[in-house]
Amino acid sequence: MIRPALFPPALLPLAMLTAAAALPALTAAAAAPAKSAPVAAPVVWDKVCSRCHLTGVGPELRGRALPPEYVRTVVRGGLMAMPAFPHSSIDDGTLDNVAKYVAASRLPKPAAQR
Amino acid sequence: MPTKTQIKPETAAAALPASETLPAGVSAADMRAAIAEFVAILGPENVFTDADHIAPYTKVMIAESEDLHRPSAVVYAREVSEIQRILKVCNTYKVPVWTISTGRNFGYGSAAPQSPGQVVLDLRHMNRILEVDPVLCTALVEPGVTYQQLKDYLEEHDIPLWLSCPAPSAIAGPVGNTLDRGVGYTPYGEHFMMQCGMEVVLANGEVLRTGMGGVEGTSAWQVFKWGYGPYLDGIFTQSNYGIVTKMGLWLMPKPPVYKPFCIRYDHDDDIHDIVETLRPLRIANVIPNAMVFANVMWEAAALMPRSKYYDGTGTTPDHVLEEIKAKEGLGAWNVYAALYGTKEQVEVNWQIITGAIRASGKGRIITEEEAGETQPFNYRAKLMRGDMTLQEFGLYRWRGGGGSMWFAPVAAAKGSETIEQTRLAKEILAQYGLDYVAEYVVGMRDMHHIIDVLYDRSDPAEMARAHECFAKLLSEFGKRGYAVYRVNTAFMDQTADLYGPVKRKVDQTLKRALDPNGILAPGKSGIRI
Repeated sequence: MIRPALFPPALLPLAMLTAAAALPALTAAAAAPAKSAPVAAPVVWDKVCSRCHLTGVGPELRGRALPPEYVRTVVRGGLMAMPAFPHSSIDDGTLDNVAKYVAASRLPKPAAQR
Repeated sequence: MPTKTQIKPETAAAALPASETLPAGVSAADMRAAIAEFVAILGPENVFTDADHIAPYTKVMIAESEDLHRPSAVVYAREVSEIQRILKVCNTYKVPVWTISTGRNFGYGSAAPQSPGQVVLDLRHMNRILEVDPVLCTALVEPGVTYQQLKDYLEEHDIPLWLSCPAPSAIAGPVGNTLDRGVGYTPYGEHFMMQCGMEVVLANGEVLRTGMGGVEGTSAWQVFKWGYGPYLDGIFTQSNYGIVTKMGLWLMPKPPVYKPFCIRYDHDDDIHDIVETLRPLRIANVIPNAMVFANVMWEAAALMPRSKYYDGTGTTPDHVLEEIKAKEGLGAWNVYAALYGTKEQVEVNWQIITGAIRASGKGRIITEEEAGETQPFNYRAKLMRGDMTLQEFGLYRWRGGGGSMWFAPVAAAKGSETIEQTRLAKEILAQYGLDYVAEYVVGMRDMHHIIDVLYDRSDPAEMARAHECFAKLLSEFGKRGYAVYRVNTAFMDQTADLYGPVKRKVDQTLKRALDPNGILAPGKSGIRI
């Protein structure tokens, strides 16, 4: 039923959950997740930011030399339609990466002007 | 050296919130003691009372001051054992906790508690995908798992299963959405129906597994919903009776053929015939998914601010909507549905559907081939296959100002009801200068009539109007036997009243039995001890 190869060690196979005798033991079986390292900015940009800021839903951010501190403030607190992202969603290190990435971004020229 | 984000027990006391953000009935001394114990359990890096960390949890879209929903503290837990210990502290000091999973719930209250001073218990870090069974097509996940995370997992492991997501898919998660009984757009769109098995930490610290989960050695926790005796999962949705720490859900096998399509209708009153034509096909499962009927303003709002066509204030005039329809190629109502299955199954059902539309004498069918990569077809096609898109966030910039409250009355799938509900909603919204931005999401026999009450939250007068408007929508719909399936934190009591005094009393009886100190999310769905 379960293909072990599909599940990296960080995941808890169902067998571990169901084989134990009592609930406290079951929960103890779950390995504590390691504290994650900051995520690379392009990954976050691609998976979250770009879904609004490259689709016309949110404002264009690229090529505006937005100060990283401004980006950090808006991400943390939200602004109008922009949702807030707490530290549990994006840690300070990752947010720093994203803020610098946005600040340094360039707006691609339209195809006709290239 | 402690940084701003690391509070030592002794400094946590100094960083206590101002008295106005203390929970009702909790003294500053008790709160200080509770915070110190949270720090001892979780470590200083997981307990926060400073403005920088609390600010994200106060970003609400509802028409009330954020001060009415400001938490006193935020704590992060990663383990069931930590939650058990936190609840012990809460019981000792009568400190209430408002639990969030991914903390989205936009337009329903976001991550903020129902009343000020509650401690937000943020489970975003509890984000393990515990199991995906590619044979039985099930998953078991923790509350912090996002749809994006689960989608990535399925792709990375080449598992051909599809998700069903609400519109803010990428940043929301299955546990939070299902527990608030949210919906998606695939054949698995009624998310609570596709949920199977929970692990719940009760207020007294005991851990309950629902369904088959309590049976030692079971292999059926994620495949048989009902277990034995009273079915309990329902009482842990839209409620405050426990903290769900694991949830099973069913995933849809990727079909060999996927055929999304749109049907555009030109006139507002066509909603009657849309329902009458398509309801039999939905009940017979010819159309298997939670299809939607979106009005012109919803369609336009997903793509553009209304200032593109209208710079005035108040309700968008009808002549502007006619101009948008003509220039953007949108219908007064726009149906989005899809077929899933083998080539033969899809072909047969396609013939049935196109035959029904032809026979009705109304409606213009648009296929994926005809739509190409154009919006809104493209994002609708993504939603109906459980793909990630945030295109519908566009609704929030339709009028600007970041105000949004979902008014979502349930309707029976009858054309006459849609005519009445649509007329009533437009009439009330117009009284307050607001827009009817609406879609019907079609269940098996019901429809969620989803109206986004959009307003400028930076304008205090408009915010007050929006609040008054929402209260009137609830009361006027209630007088006619209509009530919402879910509501934001500002209107939970008014909504609970619509469901009658006996229901409220039973809700309270359960609350007193399961959480006698009332420490779990007081006020959720109007439930308190």
